[in-house]
Amino acid sequence: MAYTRISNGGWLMSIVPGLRTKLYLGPDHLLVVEQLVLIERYKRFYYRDIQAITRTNSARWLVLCGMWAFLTLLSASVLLLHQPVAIAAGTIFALIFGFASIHGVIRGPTCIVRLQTAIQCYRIASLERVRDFRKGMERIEVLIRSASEAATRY
Amino acid sequence: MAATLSCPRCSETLPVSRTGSRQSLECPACRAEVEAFIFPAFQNDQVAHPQIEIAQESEAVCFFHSRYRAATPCDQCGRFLCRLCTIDVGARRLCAECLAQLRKQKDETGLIHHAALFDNTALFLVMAPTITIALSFLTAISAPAALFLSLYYWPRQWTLLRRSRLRFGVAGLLSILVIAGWAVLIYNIVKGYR
Repeated sequence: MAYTRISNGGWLMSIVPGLRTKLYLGPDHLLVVEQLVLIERYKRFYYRDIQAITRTNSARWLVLCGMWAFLTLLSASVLLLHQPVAIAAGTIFALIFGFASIHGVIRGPTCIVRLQTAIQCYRIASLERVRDFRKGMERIEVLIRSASEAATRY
Repeated sequence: MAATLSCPRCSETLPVSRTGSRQSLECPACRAEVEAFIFPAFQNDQVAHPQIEIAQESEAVCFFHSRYRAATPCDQCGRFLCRLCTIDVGARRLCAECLAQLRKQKDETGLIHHAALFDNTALFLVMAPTITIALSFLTAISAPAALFLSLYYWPRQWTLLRRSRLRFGVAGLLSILVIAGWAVLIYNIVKGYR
């Protein structure tokens, strides 16, 4: 049974050890892999059971980008001091926060995605960038429709 | 019971049309614009009680309920099952016993739902006390434990998807360095006493 990766939960999250959600396509199900530091949990959503996938825009990316930009400015302000250690530390932190800010802008707007089955409504964190969602849905939608039609025929 | 669709932001019920596979909706509560992909399972909501049928004299009966008519065989063990005992798992139809077995089965056809990450545990054991500095004395115990985990679980760790062994390598290397540091420290203390 081969799984194809749909989303990795973002590059920035992948360097934070232990906290990430990945989404994979299986032959008859979607596999959500939730990594919680010392344990990995697998959740399977069978295509024939999926009733709907909903998405709405969220302002999380603006808040996060604003926060990273503020921290970048705060770190850069240390450069005004004339101490070599403070300048070195300020440069490092400004680069880290600046990178996070630019990375957030490049990845684009965020959204809230929920997958609904007959008995649950599950939030898919790994598809919560509009671009990832569009790309992922191109592949997921076809599989769900064909599985649902096959189940109806059966 | 007809299925309903809820807003991803506020969970309010959305006014969804029964026709159309892709709909643009507005939440009546939070006014959020919601894009909804509706699939056939939504229209024929399958949350219905299974119909139990009493078997006639010449009919096959369920393995677990001798009075009920068999509806399908278990895809795993082949036992006859009535509608009450049939559990749909994707395209497979299973009995409760086979489902319980599959939940322990550590391969891709199994339905195991978690795996322990010993590489992360080893890395955590060696790095957490070192980073906190105040608790770095704990590395005297945690570094050998991390080294043991790295060596023992290197060939044994199982996860559903392929996982790199890099973390084991890093944890092993760091724990060797920490143990070497402790050895040097103890050697110097003993030497100082003499």
